[in-house]
Amino acid sequence: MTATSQHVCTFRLDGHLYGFDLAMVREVHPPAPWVVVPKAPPEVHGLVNLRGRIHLILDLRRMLNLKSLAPSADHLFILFREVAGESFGVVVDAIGEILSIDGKDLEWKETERNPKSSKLIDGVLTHGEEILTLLRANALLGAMSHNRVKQGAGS
Amino acid sequence: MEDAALFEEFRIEAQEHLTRVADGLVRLERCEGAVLIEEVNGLFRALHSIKGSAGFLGLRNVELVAHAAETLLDRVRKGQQQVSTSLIDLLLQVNDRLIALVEDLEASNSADVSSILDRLKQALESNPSAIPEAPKPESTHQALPTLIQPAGQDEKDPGSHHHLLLDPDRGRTIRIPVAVADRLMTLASELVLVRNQALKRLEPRDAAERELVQRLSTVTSDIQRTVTSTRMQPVGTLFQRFPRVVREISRQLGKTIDLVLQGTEVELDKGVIERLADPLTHLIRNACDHGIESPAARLKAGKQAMGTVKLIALHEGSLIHVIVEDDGGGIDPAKVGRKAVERGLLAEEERVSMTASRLQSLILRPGFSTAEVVTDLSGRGVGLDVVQSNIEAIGGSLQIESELGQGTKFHLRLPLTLAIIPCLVVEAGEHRLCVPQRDIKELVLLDGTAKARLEMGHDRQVFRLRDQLIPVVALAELLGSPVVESDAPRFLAVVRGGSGCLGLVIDAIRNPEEIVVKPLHAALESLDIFAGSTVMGDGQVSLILDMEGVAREAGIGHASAAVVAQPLAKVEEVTLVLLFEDGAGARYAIPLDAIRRVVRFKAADVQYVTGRAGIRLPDGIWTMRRLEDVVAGVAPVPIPDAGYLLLPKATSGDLLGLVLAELIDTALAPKVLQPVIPAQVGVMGVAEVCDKLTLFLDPAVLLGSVEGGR
Repeated sequence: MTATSQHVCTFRLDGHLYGFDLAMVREVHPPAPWVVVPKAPPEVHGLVNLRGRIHLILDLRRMLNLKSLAPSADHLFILFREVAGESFGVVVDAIGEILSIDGKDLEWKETERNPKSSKLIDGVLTHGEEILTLLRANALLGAMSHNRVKQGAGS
Repeated sequence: MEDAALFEEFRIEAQEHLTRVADGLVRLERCEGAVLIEEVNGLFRALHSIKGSAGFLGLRNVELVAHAAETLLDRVRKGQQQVSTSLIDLLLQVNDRLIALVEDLEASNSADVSSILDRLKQALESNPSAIPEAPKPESTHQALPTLIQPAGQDEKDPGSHHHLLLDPDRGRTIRIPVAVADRLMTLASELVLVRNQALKRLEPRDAAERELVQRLSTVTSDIQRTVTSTRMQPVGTLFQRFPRVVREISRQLGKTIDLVLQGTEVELDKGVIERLADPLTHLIRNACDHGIESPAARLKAGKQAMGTVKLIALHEGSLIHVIVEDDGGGIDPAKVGRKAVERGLLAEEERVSMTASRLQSLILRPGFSTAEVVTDLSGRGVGLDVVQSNIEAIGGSLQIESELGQGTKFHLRLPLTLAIIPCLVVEAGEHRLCVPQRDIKELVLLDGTAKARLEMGHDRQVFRLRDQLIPVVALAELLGSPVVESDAPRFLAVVRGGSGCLGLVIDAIRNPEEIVVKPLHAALESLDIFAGSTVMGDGQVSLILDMEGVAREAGIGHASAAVVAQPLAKVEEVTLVLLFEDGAGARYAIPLDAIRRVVRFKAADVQYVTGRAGIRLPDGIWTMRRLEDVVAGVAPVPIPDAGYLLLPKATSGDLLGLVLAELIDTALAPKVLQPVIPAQVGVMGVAEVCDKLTLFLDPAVLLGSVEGGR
């Protein structure tokens, strides 16, 4: 499937350029007040109520092992379609343009820096001067660490 | 894929028919004469309908089996075949086989049905017709010869293919996927939320505007109520499996037992019904097995040889009662008491002072039921503690009433719905959480006095509650919040958890609220300290604590059984209060001695002056205050069409009355209340009245301070 073209929803995180397959993205939502989930895996940013449906918001920074900064003041939520998993989304710093990329443009690269983050990465390509990293939305929920840190209560 | 839709339609329809057939077959044994023929006709029609539709869809095996069973029934109908236990057994097996075939329609045509067909064939051959088969032109169903032929070939019944489309009941209901119903439920709750927020902002200027807002409000409430009702199902869908259960058990035990079903039309939330199935099966088995005596023993006791088990459902207020009643030997309190002492569940002195009914309810204690007890004590109480905890898990309760020699009654009280539960909103560290009220036994203010402080027992904090030591969990710490040392008074919520009691230290108590429970996101399922999530009145998400999970997380296993049995202490000092609700389910109380009187009003009586509502009474014009005007955090509700206005005893010159949406009752309430933190003007405190957390208001302060504040 090298010659197929694909629409990519790009966004910025920690200064880097990333993208999700547009087919996975349901909407981009302005920030809403979220509730921290105690004892949840560290990747969980919180829960938000968006039009009566509770969404799980993940901290993509942590999942990509970026310098864990607090989200920017004008951060946004990217929410995914059901094909990517039960109602959830990620926090991003800023949304970019929608790019149409041709399969031929892709410089597929195996990233092996981190076994966890590489599962999330679909491929890398150059966009102008920049590197655009394509992420797999449907791999996000599965990449959450479920072996949460045991904290002995009371002692 | 129109075919797929047709197949699905057939599957659902056939399943309904087959359930009815199973039900009818069990009844068959008891019927005679015209009633029997009527029952057989019903079964025949159901099978005939399945056969017809199956033939139409080319489901050959379903058609063959249904046809053979139909043939057998036809002979019963014509009096050529006796109804015997073995015949009913066979037909029940046929029904099971059909259910299995229908379950997996795709594979049904390749399934092997020869054995069941052989047995049907045998049944027909072994019982040669007493009366030679009279040719009946109107009957298109012949007996043996057609048995192994596909029915569609020998039968030209034009009606049979159309059952799918012409069932007279079909027009009255529609089927929608559960996911759609759930989504509607979510949207309705969201609508209520938006309505509440809008009402806070809107200040209707004139009557027309006010009416509009009121209509919007009423319609919204109606929508929510109607949508909630779509989740309701008659308990009959659950009850109908029991005749067969009873039939099988009584045969195994050599008893004759009649099961009487009542109130099958009573409706309950789908979720409650699903979770009621196991406990109810257990209770029914228990009643047949251990309640009803053997026929010989019954005759000796001067009873009918046939025992009766009644399964009754009743609707009363916001509760559903389900009663399993037998007319068996009853529970012997003396025997139970002796056994409990032997098993170390009870001290001898305690036993002597206990009433018969307290002794009988000992059978619900964990640890009471063991194999030994079964033989010794005619087995009453096998795993009944499990039944009780299952019932309590859905917010219900289980009570036993039993009279020796006369029978036993298990009385279940269940909530109408699982989807909406009353919760207490609490704060712990930086978290706001919901604690289901059904889990809360009592609230204690930890003010540092000798009576209300935590002690260290061994390696963990404990609290002395009326001579019972209960383990204590600091909620904020458990949730990973930084520990803050402060002298501020905190609360201890005594909750059910970890098969006993557990004290939960919380920083502040907010208001009680009725919440719509939503399951926790699938990716967070491993967090068992939460039972679910919800959207609060302010639109924010809040998490609902699961006490079992909290107990596990804190490493608290079994509390002593004595704590479980400890009833709530009775508070001696009481005062009479008026109970009312705000229209959104929260409870309030006002001491009767602070009330001058309560007057009823209709919308027509209300007059508006510069945006304020007032009402003319003999002693002047009273300005109407709504609850949300005077108490912070109350969901706004427009002035109802008809309601009550409470006039306080003390007035500060201005005539101010409080609008009460719904009067509940007067009741005795404790004089000593738990304070609310942070303190609110006019709120005296909280206490549990009639099993609900109730906020106590002081009308003199509320209505006196209002004018000053504005």
